[in-house]
Amino acid sequence: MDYSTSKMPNASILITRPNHDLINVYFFKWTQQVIEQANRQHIKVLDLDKDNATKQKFTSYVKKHNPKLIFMNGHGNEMCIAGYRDEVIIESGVNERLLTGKIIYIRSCNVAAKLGRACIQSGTRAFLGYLKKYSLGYTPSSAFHPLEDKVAKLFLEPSNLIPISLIKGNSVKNAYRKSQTAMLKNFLFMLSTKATKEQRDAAPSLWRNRKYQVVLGNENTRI
Amino acid sequence: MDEFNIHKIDPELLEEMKKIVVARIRTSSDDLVITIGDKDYNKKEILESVEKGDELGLEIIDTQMEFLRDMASGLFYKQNA
Repeated sequence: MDYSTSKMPNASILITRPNHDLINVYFFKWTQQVIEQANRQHIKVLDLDKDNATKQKFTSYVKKHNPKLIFMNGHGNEMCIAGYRDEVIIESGVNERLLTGKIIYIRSCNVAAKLGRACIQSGTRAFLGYLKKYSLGYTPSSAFHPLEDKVAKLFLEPSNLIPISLIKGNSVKNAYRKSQTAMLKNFLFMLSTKATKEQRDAAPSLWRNRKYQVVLGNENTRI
Repeated sequence: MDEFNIHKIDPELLEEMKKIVVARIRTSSDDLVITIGDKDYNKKEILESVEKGDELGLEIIDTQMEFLRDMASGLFYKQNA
């Protein structure tokens, strides 16, 4: 079913987007695109923003609202994903069962390497994330206006396509494919003469993000 | 997936890679910061790390060499076909 213009009943998305350092400010600002798409689809958004991105609130919201899709931003490593001021929210071997039955997208370093696999073993339907460190290029001259940063845009718009595509009713496989395709398109643009010097110099980092972005679990599932 | 491991590379080869990467970074823009993990790095910091060969430097070398390898192999354009 194409949900692109229709209401998706009873669906909700839980988002964490702390803002305690510059990369998280970029994630925080650019995640607004995802929230706007969810609003257009009449999907309830549970927005754990800024200092609300805590383990206690996350746990409470998951148990109370049972969101079908969880989109997390923040610092992470192979074993965990953190929230505001790097408080660990989900840790492999500790509380990944909280994510059972859900589709998870984590925009953070290394999380797919071990945490993602642990989540799938604990019953997470699908997990999208990165096997290596997530990189973001940005221009310091735009740092006060992250949404106008023409380098960061090339990184963050394609990664937003995962939750946006899922919200529109796409399968996990299609959401992943759309994100990969958009990253490749941006990457090839960055190599072209149309790109600025900053965009061109940031190309290797986007290539790496694309190469190590993975999907685990059931690719055919959707919210 | 790429099996290349920057931490296990021959030291002489690593020195050659450093030279290539340093040359690339030196010509890069001053108005660009790359965030890797939880830290931001400007051109000067990246250059210092690559020359020292510290953990960040190895990450940058790995990223740049992977880019060059994949470009040389035509992988960029194969994936666009």
